[in-house]
Amino acid sequence: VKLTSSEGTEFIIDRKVAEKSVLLKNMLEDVGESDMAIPLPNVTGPILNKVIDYCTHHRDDPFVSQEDDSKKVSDDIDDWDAEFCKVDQGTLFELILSANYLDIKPLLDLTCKTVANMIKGKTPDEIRKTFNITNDFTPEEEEHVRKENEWCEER
Amino acid sequence: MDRKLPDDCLDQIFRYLAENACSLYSCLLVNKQWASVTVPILWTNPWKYEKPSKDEIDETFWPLIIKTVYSCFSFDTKDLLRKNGLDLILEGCSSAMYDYVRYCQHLSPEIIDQLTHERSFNEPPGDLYRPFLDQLVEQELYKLFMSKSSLRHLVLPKIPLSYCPGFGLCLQKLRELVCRSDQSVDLFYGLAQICRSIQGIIVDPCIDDNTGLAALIEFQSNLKYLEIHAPEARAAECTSIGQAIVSQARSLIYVHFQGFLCIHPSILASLSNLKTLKLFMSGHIANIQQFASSTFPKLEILDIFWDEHTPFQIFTMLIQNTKGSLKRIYWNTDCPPTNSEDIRYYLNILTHNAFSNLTFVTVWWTEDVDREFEKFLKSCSNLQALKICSFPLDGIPQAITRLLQLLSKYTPPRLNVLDIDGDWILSPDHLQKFLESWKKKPRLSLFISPKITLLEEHKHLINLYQEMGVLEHFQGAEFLDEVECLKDLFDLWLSS
Repeated sequence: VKLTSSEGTEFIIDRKVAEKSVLLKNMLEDVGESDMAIPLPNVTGPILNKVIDYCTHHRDDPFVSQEDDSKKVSDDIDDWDAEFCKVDQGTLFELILSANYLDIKPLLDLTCKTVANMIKGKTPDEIRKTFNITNDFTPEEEEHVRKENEWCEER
Repeated sequence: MDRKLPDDCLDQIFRYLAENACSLYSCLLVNKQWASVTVPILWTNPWKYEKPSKDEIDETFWPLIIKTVYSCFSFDTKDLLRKNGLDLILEGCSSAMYDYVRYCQHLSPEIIDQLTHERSFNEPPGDLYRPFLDQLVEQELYKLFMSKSSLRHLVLPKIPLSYCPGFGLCLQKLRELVCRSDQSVDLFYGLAQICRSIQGIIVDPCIDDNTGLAALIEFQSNLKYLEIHAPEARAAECTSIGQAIVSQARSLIYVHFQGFLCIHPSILASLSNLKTLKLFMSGHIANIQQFASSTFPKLEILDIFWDEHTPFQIFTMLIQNTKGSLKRIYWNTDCPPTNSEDIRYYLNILTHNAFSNLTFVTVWWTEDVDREFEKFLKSCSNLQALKICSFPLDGIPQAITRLLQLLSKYTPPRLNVLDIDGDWILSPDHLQKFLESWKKKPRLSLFISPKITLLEEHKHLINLYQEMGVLEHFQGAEFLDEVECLKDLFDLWLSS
């Protein structure tokens, strides 16, 4: 299967690896085998490279469907996956966006768990600093939200 | 943030923090986008974050959350409460920043009760109108939730919810219902008209048959989970509920009966897709032979938490009739095998029925069944947890030496939870030999019956082998399902 990243770089991968992405799997089922490259305008080359690394490593994993309301835990990341996620924050966010776009549930879960673990135990200010986020609440609004949800503080 | 994550990605991230209210609270205050994604997660089931100490309510939780819930009241409700002299409870409840109640998916009369009565602390005591005012607030709270929420889990209250505007929409997507069989037939008919996707129903208590409840069960398109608590002394056979259960035979995979089996055993036998069967029986099972001949080809979990009357062989026959998919057979029973032949027969079934998925099993042991026990250990190669009960010899404790020798020699390679239940004589010397033999095996969580006397020497050995990493946990435990550190193991099997 041929894929082209946003800059036009071409990647050739096994169909089995490509099918970890539900988006690509459906596309391939619809159009069948073809020499035409599938354009992925939302994914840059370096990110696509990482995504392919992930899908290749996990190519033989069984498909696991998870109930939406089942309890989600973020402390079950194995060593290879943890190492895979040791990237700068920009890359991590790009991976989330790509996993979401390509519909690769296990990669989306992994990257989201990693970000969740980065949030755990931080104050709002620390979170803003970590992720470079601007606070757009007015002081009054912030106080209002704080008071309305005070019941869950320190729980 | 170089590139902003869209709401759906943030939602995925925050769901991993759903058990961690403190982190969600931080996310809430980061910025407006983060707040708008956090609020629905935090308010799905805010009540679960209450941390009551033993027998006491959480005093910091309710007074704070109550203010936010009351601030979601409509202008008309606030006006009505003020006209009835309830100004105080609305003090500090300005209009809410978010429509919090809209996101609530869990509701029960206990929650409404807390939200109703907590306000009383703000009012002067001895008010003669208090019961009237409590009822007024209770009604307004139900109206608030019915008009705004879309509930997934409901403990059915006694009040006629169908009078609340929005009742239909609010309960259309209900997934789990907890109710009593003595609730109004009409209330159930009302629910049956709108709820079609309930996946779990818990009837506690189930005292009488209820045609409304039967209709509600029958109308569900994918009922998977059913739990019925029928107190033995009061319960009667529930014919129409039984018939309704038959209509759900295709989808029901989890059934739990407690007390008295209030349906005909043939109905239970018709549930051919059952994966989990939990029985906590204190009453006789009528037509017991029919019960024994039930066939559950897909059964994975059989838990017999209690049974005072059913003979051991009946369950042995039931196990024999399954088709090898069993993962767990767990017994906490008062009807143990009556002779060695019973145990031998049971062990032979486990050995010969190709239970290759079996990871957790309860067995009995006596020296007479040595050979069968050895074969059983060799055949169940995937076993991870084993509960071994002593064979009752009129209160005479059994020597454990031979059993430990067999375990040391033939234990399945992945076994890491061992429960020695009943009356045994366990000398420090034998314990040491056994733990020594376990050195190259998976770290063991060992549970023993409180009936086994432990001396200082035992305790010293346990500490020593814990430090050496041979033992993971050690605990005296009467019932394995009540052991805190095994809770996940039981839950895991429950959800599989």
